[in-house]
Amino acid sequence: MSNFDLPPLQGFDPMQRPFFPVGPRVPESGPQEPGLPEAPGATGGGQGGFGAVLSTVLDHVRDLQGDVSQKTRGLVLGEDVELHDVMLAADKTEVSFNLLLEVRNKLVEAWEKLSRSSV
Amino acid sequence: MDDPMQGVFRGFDVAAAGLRAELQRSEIVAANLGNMHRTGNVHKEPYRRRTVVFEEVLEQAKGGRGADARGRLVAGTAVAKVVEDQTPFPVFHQPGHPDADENGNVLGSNVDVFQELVELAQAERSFDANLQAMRVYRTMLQNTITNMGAR
Repeated sequence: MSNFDLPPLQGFDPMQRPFFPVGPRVPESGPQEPGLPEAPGATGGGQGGFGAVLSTVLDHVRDLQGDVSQKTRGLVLGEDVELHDVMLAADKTEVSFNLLLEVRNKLVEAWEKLSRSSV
Repeated sequence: MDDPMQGVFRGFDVAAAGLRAELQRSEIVAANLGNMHRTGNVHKEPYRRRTVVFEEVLEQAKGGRGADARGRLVAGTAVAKVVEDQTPFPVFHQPGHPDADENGNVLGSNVDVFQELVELAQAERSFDANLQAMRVYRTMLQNTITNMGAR
């Protein structure tokens, strides 16, 4: 029997979970929090998780940007596009992109904090 | 793929619906002003003034958030219909006019230019108000997002 067979730290365990929802996590059996749609790959275990969510949102923002380009082009070429629709699409895309950027900044920030911490 | 930000962007769509409706209203005003000199007589109707009627647009809520008692969400406004003004046409005595009848009377359009200009000013102000609502809504979202990164 080696010294590494320590019992899990009971006191810290419940505290840790909310702070690290990102990384690989074993799926819990129990009532899912209502209102939250199940993110793709969130319960996937080793890979996916937050990365899958991020890539979904990234795809969505790219789609929005494509939509704005298309609408702007349509407007300039005299197609049946209303001016305020172009503005609306641009506004939505801008807000979506900034949200994505902010989430990304948070992620990088968290990573930097982790990498700086002395073990 | 369903838009994940759909609920957040509802304010944009509501304001855009208002913009669209006010644009349509100003188009009708422009048509009134453009056609107000189209004369007529008893056999041929002169131009009849048109006005728009707005209606509120509601949509069935999928979730419960922000819905009213009957489970509906605001989705803006729209032009429900364009109605014709039934006020009588003014009569002018102009013998020799191509549209004059046997007594020399000509029917003019029932468009009142001052009324139309007031309507146009109203449409313009309402358009600006909707634009401002959209701008403020965007600023609110933007400030919330920026606040995420602030420390």
